[in-house]
Amino acid sequence: MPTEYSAIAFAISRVLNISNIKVIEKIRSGQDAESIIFEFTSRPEQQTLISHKKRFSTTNVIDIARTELSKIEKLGYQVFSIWDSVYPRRLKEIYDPPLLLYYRGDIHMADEKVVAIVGTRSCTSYGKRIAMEISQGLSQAGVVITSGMAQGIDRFAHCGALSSAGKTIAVLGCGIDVVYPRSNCDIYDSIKESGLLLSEYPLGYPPLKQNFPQRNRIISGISDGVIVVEAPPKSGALITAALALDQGRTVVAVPGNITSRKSVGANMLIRSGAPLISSWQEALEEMYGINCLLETDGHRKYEKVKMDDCEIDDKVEKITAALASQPLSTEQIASELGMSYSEVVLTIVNMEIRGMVLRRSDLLYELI
Amino acid sequence: MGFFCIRSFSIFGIECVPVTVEVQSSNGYPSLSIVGLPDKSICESTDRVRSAIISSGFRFPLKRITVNLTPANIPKRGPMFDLPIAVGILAASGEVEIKTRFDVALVGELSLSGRLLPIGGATAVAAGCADKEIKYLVLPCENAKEASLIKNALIIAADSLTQCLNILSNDELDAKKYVNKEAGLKTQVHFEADLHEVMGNELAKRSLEVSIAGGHNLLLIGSPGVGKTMLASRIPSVLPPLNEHEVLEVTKIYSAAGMLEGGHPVTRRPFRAPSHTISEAGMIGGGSPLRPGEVTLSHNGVLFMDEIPLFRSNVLEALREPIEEGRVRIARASGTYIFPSRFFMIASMNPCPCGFRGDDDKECLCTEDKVRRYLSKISGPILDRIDICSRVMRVKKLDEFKCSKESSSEMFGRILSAREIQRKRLASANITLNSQMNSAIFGLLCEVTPAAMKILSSAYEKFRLSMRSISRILCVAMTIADLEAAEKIDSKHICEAISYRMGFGWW
Repeated sequence: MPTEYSAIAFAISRVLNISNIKVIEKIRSGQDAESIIFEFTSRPEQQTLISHKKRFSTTNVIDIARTELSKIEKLGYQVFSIWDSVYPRRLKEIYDPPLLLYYRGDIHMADEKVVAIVGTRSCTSYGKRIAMEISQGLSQAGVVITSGMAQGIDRFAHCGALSSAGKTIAVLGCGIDVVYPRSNCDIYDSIKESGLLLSEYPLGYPPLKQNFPQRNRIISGISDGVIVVEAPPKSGALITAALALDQGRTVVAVPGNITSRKSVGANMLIRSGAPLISSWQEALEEMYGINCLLETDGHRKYEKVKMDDCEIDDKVEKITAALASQPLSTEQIASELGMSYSEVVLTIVNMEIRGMVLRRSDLLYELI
Repeated sequence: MGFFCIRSFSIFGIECVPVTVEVQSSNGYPSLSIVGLPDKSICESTDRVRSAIISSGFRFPLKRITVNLTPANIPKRGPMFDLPIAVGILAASGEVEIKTRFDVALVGELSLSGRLLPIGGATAVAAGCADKEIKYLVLPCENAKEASLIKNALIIAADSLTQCLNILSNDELDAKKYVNKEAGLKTQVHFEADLHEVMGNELAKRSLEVSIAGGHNLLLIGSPGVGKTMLASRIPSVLPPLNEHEVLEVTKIYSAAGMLEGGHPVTRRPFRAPSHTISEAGMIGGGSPLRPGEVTLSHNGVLFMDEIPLFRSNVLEALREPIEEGRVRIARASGTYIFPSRFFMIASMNPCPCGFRGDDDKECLCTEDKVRRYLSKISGPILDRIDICSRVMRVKKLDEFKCSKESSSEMFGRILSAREIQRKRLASANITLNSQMNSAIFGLLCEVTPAAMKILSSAYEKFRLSMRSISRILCVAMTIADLEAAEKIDSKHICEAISYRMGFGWW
C-alpha cells in the first residue's frame, strides 16, 4: 500500500499540479505535509487550476491520489515522497529535491556509496573502454554506479557495473516504464531486474529534451561524487558536473587527448581544478579517501605489439604513432606519413585483423 | 480491284516486331479504314497520308481502301506506318507501278507536304531487318546514321514520299546508289569538368577509379559540401568509351526512347543521374506507351544516385532485379517486356539526416533513432550489392589543396588498360568486367597468392564476413590488381579491397 505521505505528495504535484520548488520552500520553512496540502486545496485561486473545475476538499484530492497510486503499484512500480524515510538522504540535501520519485528495484541502494559516471553520448572507443573499466573496478569495490542510461558513456557505465554483478542506478529523463533510447533496452531490462530505476516523471512521460538537464540534478544529487569521462564542450555531462559542484559533490575527470573534441570538457574541468583520475582506485581515493593503490596498481601495462611480419613492423609503429593523437582515414595517414596509399592500406588492414586498430562506423581508423 | 503488301515494323519497348502492311482497294463508296489494332497515331495517319499523297502530286484514289496491319492480334503504335500505308495505297490503286516485294521494309512518318520525318527506334528496326533477312530498309534521312550501325542491313535514306517511290519503282534496287554514306561514329567528346579540380579526397578518387575500372557498385558517404556531387559530376570524364557492340545496344535503347541527339549514335558511356523524386515507372520503365526507365537508359554505363536515402523506398526496392540480373522484366496485359539494364551504381549519401555524424568539427545533433530510420531506407539486399564503401572527408588543411595533382586523363588511361586486361582474361567466360564474375569464373581465371589468401581468411574470421562479401572482396581485389597490371592478387590488393567493405557500424 502506498504510504500516506506519498499520497499527499502525489496529490500536490500530480493532481493539483503545484510546482516542485514551491512545495520544497514550504517544507524548508517548517510546514508539515498535512498543512501544506490543506493550504493548497483551500486557496480559492488553486481551484481554477484543477481541470475538473469542481471544488476539492483535502480528503477528496488524497483519495484520487490513492487510487492513482494503487494503479501504479499494480503495474509493479513504486512511489515515495520526500517525507518518507526511504528518500535518499543525500538527495534531500540538494536545493530542489523532487517531491515525488517513481522507482523500481532496491531503493536502499541510493543510500550506499554511490558514484556517478557521466560523459558524452557519442563516445570514442577510448571513452568506452575507460567507462567500462572504472565502472567495473568501482562496483567490484562495492560502490553503486549511477548514470542516466543514455547512449555512449552512460551505457558503458551501466554495462560495467552489470558485467561485474555490481549495483547500478539509472536515473531516467522519462517515465520509468519508457525505454529511451530503444537501443538500450537490453540494459534497461537488466537494471529493472537487478538494479534501480529512478525517475521524477510520471509513468509514460515522454523523453522531452528539457527533462534531461533536470534529471541530471538527481544523478549528482544521489551520488557522493561524479566522474566525467569524455565530455565535449556544452555537453550534458558538464551540466551534471556543474550541478554536482553546486550540491557540494566531488567532481573528478578522466583526462583525454587534447586534440580530441570529445575530451575538451573533461580536460577543461581538470584545468579548473577537478582532480585528475586515471583508474578506479584513484577515483576511490578522491571520493572516499580510501587508499587502495598498490605499487603495481594504477599503472597501465604498455606492451609493444610485435607483428609476425617484420616487413611492415616499422610501418605499424609509425601508424600507431599517427593514430595516437586522433582517428584518421587511410588517406589522412598516407598524407601525414608520406607513405603510399597501398602501403598504408596493407598495414592498417593487417593491424585491424590483429585487433590493434578499429575501423569506426564513420570509416576512420582508431587505436584500440 | 488492287492489292499490295509491303513490310514494316512496329516498336515494342525497345524491340521491334515485323508487321506486314496490306492494302486493298476496291470499288465502292470512297473510304479509308485501317484495321489490325492501330493506336491513335496510326488512325490519324489517314489524314496525313491523304495530304502527303496530294502534296506529292498524285491523285488520292476515290476507292474503298482497306489497310490491314498483320499480325492483327498485337497492338501497334505508330506514326512510322505513314510511309508504308501511303506507298501501299498508291500501289494498290494503280496510281504508281510498284511490284510487291518482300526484301524491302519501309518505315517513316509523313508530313502533310510529303516530306519524311524521323521516327524513334530506327536502330531497332534496322536490327530487325537484319534478323528477318530483309535486305533493304527505306527510312527517313535523319535516321540513317543510327540505323547504319547495323552492318547487315542496307539502309536507304529517303527524304520524301516521291523519292521513296522513285527508289521502289526500280525493279532492281541499286543498293550502292542509295546506301547511306553517313555511317561512322562521332569522335570522343571533350569534357570540361576534370578530376584535378576536386581538391584532396584522394581516397574517394581512388575508390571511384576502382569502381569504374571493374564496374563495382560504389557508395560514397560524406558530410554536406565535402565534394561528393562534385566528384560524381566528373565521373563522365573517366568513363571509357563504348565499344562497337555496346554502341549498338545503347543506341537502340536511346533511339526507341526518342532520346538520340541529332540522330547520332550514342558513343559516350551513359551516365544517368535521376532526381530522387523519380517514380518507380521512371526508374524501371513503364507507362503507356511503354518507355525504358533510368536503369535501362544507364545500360552499359553508370547510374548515379545522389542522396540515395531520399529515394522512395519502392523505387530502391525495384532496383533489386536490375542490379541482380542485368535486365528488367515489365509485365503488362499486352505481354512481358524485357529491357537490358547492365549498369553499375554509384550512390552518395550523408552519414545521418543532419549530415555531420562522424565529423570531428561539427557535432551531430541526430538522435540514434533518427539515424537508424534514415539508414534503414536502404534495404539489406541493396546494401549487399555495394562492393565499395568510401568516406569523403572534408579537406582539413588548405595545403592539401595542392596535392590534387592527378587529372582525369591519367585516371582514364589506367581505367582503360585495366578494362582491357579484364576483357582479355574474361573473354572465355563471355563477360567483360570483374564485377560480373561469379566464384566459379573467379576460381578458373584468377589467381591469389598464398599470403593474400591468409589475410583474407583471417579477415573472414575477425570481421565475421559472409561468403558473398568474400567473393565481392575478391572481385574488387582483382580489379585493384588489374589497375597495376599485376597477374595475381597480392596482399596489398586484398587489403585495399577489405578496407572498402561496407561499414558495419552504419547498419
